[in-house]
Amino acid sequence: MARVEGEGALRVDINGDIVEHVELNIFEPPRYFEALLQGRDYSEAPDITARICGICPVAYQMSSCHAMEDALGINVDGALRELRRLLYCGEWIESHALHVFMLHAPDFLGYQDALQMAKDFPEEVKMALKLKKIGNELLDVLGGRSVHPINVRVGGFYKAPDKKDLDALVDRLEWAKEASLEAVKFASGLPFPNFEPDYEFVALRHPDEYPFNEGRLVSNKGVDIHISEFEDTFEELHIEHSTALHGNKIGGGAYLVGPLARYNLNYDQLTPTVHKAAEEAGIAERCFNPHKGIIVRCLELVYSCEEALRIIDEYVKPAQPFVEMPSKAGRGYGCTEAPRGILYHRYELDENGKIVNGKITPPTSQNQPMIESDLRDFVQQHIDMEDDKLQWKCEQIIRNYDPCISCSVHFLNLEVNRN
Amino acid sequence: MGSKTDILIIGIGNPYRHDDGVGFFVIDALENKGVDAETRRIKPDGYSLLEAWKGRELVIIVDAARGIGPVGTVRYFNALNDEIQAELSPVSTHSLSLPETLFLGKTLNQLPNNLWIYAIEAGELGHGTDLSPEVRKAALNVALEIETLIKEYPELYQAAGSALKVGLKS
Repeated sequence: MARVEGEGALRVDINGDIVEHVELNIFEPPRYFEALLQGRDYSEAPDITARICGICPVAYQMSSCHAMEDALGINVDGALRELRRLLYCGEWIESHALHVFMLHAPDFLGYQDALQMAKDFPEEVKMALKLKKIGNELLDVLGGRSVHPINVRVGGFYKAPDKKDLDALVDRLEWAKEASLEAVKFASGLPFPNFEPDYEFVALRHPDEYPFNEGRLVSNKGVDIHISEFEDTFEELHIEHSTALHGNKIGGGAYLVGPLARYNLNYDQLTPTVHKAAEEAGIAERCFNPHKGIIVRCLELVYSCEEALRIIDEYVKPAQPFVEMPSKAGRGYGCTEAPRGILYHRYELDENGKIVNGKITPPTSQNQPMIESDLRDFVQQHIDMEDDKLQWKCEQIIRNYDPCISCSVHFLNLEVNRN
Repeated sequence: MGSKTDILIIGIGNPYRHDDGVGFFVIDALENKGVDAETRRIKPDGYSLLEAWKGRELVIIVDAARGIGPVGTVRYFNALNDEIQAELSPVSTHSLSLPETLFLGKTLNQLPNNLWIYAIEAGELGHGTDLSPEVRKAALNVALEIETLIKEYPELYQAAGSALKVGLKS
């Protein structure tokens, strides 16, 4: 399958008018990161786990940092906490801009890929590339480089940026905010299938802010837990047809993480500008159509630009770029909002601060059962659709989730078997 | 015609994957020679490339390649004129290939005025930092040719039409 990260395939078995079986085969080999971490110093986890993904390394760095700080009993706040949110703004901007225009929009407009789309929509593609560049610049300034940043450490950063370095980004972020509002208009004008499953959305929720780094885990169907209770509420299952584990809510089944979940569970924490744009796009407060996730990503682009501008405006360089950490035994939990949804880390440390064991649950693993569920429902509703068109629509459904198969290996050739 | 500050030489690759580091190796060699042009090392990410070369008078790219001949074979492409025969691979979130980046650059009218590409056939692409002897030799020849061309640019290029084609192509 094109325009997703990683290797996989989709098999659909249809008997008469009934969809009997849908399975998303993930055949990328496991990478054993959790085992690689055993015996390593706690301080190494952010840089090792960042290597799981080239698009959302910040998410891996943030979740591992928070987990280690939890284990060591340290709290990072003030300007350092704000810089972490700023770093996340950069990652959301570059990831969302690429997915919306280069990977997802061609589905709606009938192009094989963004390279073909660029012939007819050059200005939109140029805008996407410029937006991505601004996200990368944020990562460069804060993280030392845009892919696999090197300036993040447990307790904060190796070096805090000077105010002037952040101020230099303001004009481009102002442009990016306006471009993102144009992107919302572009996305809301796309043709959307009528498809609204009864999802259980799961996301972080924080009383004071739209979630990046911290909050309780909540759902629209009753979940409201501390992140340390994640494994009491959710589990990962081995599935024969997938090298990726499948997320499952214990006693509840499939659930959805990512922009749609964040948006529906945290709409009140978005800014007036985003609220106005959402209302104009026709999805204010409630959006259950996964295809409209493309609009939500554009709204999150607007939010990320506004939040970045706020943080830069209020920034005062901290006296120390990091909080000192003791080495001691402990167990810690981290859960942050990667562009694709919640990323959970849990580590146990020995008295020397060495990692005894770790657990990493990426967003795409959690979304896989829901992707299969969406596919099953969609194919059943469109059982008479020609196979070529069905393949196109199925790929579109998968891309609604912006899946990162490499991360989840844990992706698509479509095989439709009709009897 | 622009000054030499409008010239950008880009090495593409991964220096920790043996011969995939040949682009970086050529940049190292040119910097050691004090070449009169801006140099840059870019890991394979077409999106960065599009931005880096936009509006430049001349951009020279050095990259490892597969399938152009025996190990160490050098091929030169004038990317704005020559057809680069490479299948467009599926676009992923992570990067665009060089042919895809060229395709997108042409479509979006975001190319430099002149774009030359040196492709060097790689042998070993496993983990490690050394170049194969054949690739190292080819890289030094490419660095020498680029150094000469930069000194003479744009006069030699204009006079010869494409001076590069009388160079070390094999």
